This record gives sequence, structure tokens and C-alpha cells, in this order.
Amino acid sequence: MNPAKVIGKTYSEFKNPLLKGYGFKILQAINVETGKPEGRPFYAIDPIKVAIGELVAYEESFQATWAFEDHEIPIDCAITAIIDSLDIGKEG
Amino acid sequence: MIIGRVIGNVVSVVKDPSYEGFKLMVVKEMDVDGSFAEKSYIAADLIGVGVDETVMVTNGTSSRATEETHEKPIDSVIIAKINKLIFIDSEVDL
Repeated sequence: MNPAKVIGKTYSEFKNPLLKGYGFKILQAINVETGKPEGRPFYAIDPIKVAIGELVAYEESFQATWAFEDHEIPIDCAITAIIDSLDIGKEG
Repeated sequence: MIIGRVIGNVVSVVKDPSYEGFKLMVVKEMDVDGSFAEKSYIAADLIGVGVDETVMVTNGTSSRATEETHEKPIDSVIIAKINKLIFIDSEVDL
């Protein structure tokens, strides 16, 4: 899993029926220590309904399909958690 | 997933039998501002799209996670038409 910031969403009129009910978000990977963006923005399916501006964790590649019940969904990037806070270099 | 523009379709007479019934499209990758990136893909069309439409493409093992593509030599599928990208303070029509 990796951290990323939600910077936008897509509007789609027509999708594969397996994707019904799910939206896509535009993510920007960030370096958690500096907070700076890393690399180009990318797209992820959003099964947990996050808002634009939130910090999230996402899963890439085939593992992303495991966020869905029967794994029968053709997606390669899924948002799996909302990150409320990060403690780096602190214990407890 | 990536977003791209369908720039053409593939005509193939001799092909793997498991490709029967699929339309194969050429998709050119796009950046979030709507400009074109270098890369283009041949992707199997699962929803029925036309040339000049903007689509979302799944790559890799995940593209075989559907009934139609299960255990077939396919690693790129078109899964949705994309009309618009919406950011906090702007919108990009595709």
C-alpha cells in the first residue's frame, strides 16, 4: 500500500457493468516525510467513497481486485483506506 | 488504470482463437490535463467504444479478472468511457 492525495475525480457516463456504483478518483502520490508530490497523477477506483483533498492509501496491480468480494472486477488500482494521521519517527 | 483516447482499431485476420468476439482498439495515453503522452496500447474493448472517444484502460493481470477475458492472452482492456475530469478548482472536458 502507498499513500496518496486525492486531487480530483472523473465523470463517466458509461462503464463496464462490473464497475456499477463505483467512481474513479484522481490520485497524486506524495512523499510522506516531505509532503511533496511524487510522479504523475493516476486513477483509482473508489469503493470506500473518499472526498477530494483527503490523504488515502491505495493498492496497485492485481491485488487491487481483492478489495472486492469475488475479485471479478477489471481494475488495477483501488483506494483501500483513508489516512487520518501519520506518526513518523515517534513511538506509540 | 490509465486514461487515453481511442485513435484507431486493429484489423487482424490471423489471430489467437480466444480473441474472437473482441474488438481490439488502439489507445493513446493521456495526461490529466488532456494532453497526449508518448505511449499507446492495443486494448480489448469490453464495453463498445468508438474512435475519438476517451476511455479508461486497465493493464496487467487485473484485465483478466472478468468472465470474458478469464484465461485469455489479454493484458489491456477498456473498462469505461470518461467524459470529464473534475479537480477542486477546475474541470477538463475530454
